[in-house]
Amino acid sequence: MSRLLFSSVFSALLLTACPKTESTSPPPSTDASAAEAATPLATTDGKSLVATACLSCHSEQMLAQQRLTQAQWQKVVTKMVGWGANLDPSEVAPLVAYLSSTSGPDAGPYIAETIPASEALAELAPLPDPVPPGDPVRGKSLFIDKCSGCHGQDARGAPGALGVLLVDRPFLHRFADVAKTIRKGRGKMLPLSLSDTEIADILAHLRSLKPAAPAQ
Amino acid sequence: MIGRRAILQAASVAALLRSKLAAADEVLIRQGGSPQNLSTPLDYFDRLITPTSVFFVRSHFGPPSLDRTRKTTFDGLLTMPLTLSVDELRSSFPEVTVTAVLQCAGNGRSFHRPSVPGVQWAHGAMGQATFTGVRLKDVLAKAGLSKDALHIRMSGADAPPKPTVPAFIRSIPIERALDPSTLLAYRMNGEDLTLAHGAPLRLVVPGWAGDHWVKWLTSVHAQKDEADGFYMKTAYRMPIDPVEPGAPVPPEKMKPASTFPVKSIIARPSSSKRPLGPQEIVGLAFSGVAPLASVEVSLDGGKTFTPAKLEGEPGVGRAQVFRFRFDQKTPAHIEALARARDAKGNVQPESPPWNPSGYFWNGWHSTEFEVSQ
Repeated sequence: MSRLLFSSVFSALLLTACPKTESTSPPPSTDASAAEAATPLATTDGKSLVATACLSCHSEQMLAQQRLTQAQWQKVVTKMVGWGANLDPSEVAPLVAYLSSTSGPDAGPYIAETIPASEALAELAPLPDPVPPGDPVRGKSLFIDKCSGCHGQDARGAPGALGVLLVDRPFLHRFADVAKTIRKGRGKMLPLSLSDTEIADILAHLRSLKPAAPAQ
Repeated sequence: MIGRRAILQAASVAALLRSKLAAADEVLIRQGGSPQNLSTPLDYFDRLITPTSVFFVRSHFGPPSLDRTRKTTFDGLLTMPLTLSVDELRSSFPEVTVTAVLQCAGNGRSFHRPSVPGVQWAHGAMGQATFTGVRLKDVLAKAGLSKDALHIRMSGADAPPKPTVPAFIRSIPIERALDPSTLLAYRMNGEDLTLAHGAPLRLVVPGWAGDHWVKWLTSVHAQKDEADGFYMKTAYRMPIDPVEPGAPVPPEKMKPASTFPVKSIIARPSSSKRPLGPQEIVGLAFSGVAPLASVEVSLDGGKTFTPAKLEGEPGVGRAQVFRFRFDQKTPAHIEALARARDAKGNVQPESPPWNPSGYFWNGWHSTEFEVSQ
């Protein structure tokens, strides 16, 4: 999971056949905001905001492939804030400015990477745990103490909370990925110094949680 | 305006890269990491069945854990609600296999101008597979479908990352649910569904865009009204009438995006250089509205078209391979483009109307190559 989340490798692939009247070049600018969007901006803050606000739920590729005007980015970010993105009101404008400058209409062609089909399959596959099974009772206690503040008491997130759903997900069966995320942090999640046994306990707890009832 | 030289350069570079691709093992094009959004390279559209290993993957939130014992509940306007696993479905209802195109509504979104947000698919968010399962109509009949049920609402086990994010819920009208081709499928291309493709159970709605083919299906609910929610009332809607590119479209001027339009895609030749002699243009064509009627190929930029040969069985939402052969005796730069037509007379347009979400791109598709000594 972590490899996916933090992947920034974009190897080359263009498609031979093209739409009759189109190319793989970027779309032409269509409104005045495009010129504004193309203005280079300091990227440090923007990158940081992307990491903390966007990459909890989206991959870098999803952002990098967009070619949107500032007005379009404003609309997208506003929608995401409504959906619970980890973004303070004061951070909206800098994030929109950053996205507009890096993924605006004039950003150039987006070149998607190719991956072996076997790798795509392996990304979702469960892996054997490298340590003995954890104790779900201890794990629950640890989770409440260390994780529930952001991920919610039931590990399903909560309105206004930073953390995402941790129930019924394939990564719960990939110990190394979970351990890496816990120990390195991710977005606004700070690194936690937990032992393999403690992580195994937390995973035993999370794996025991039942999926939510079907959405209505 | 993009110049012809730029188009040729892009095609040449692309052809070079694709020739490397053809020599490698099976690959997918990464449109998104987590959640996985993966595109099928054009090379695989020269055959009737797209291998599962390279079949495109689209998901909003990513899959739940793999659990082949996961059950699906059938409730709502039913006299006898049911909760069934795949094994129970298999043992209770006749098994059916359909061959159908699965295509994301946003396939080709990257070609719409001006650009719109979303996964910037080129041509690869489509493929054809065999899907095996049981008919939804059979299960609804056993469960005692009420005549008051006019829509079937579906949701899967792929919960959103946060409770403030709308759940992925779709519904289809009852007549589509009762169509014999609408399946609750547990196998794809003869194998159990993979997790990325919806294991253990997904809906199959031939001719309709992929958003209706709900994966990791856990709830089938019969109700009177169309489903609510973002993915019904805001997303997956198209302008009723064509609009000016980039123009805002009020909700009352939108309709659900359901069946995908007639389309052809060229898979080969995949090389930018070809020797003199026999040439072959090969690709896939289909329509979600009616069986395919013809595919024509033009070698003069769309001034004249010549019919291609079709292979495979025609059907609604079912792809056929087209093959167009000609002999090139003198060196030339060839631009070949394809145009499909369905049995209802719908013709693939040179360029489809823009729409705010970038759905259903079906413009003419072309390929260019040099024929020399």
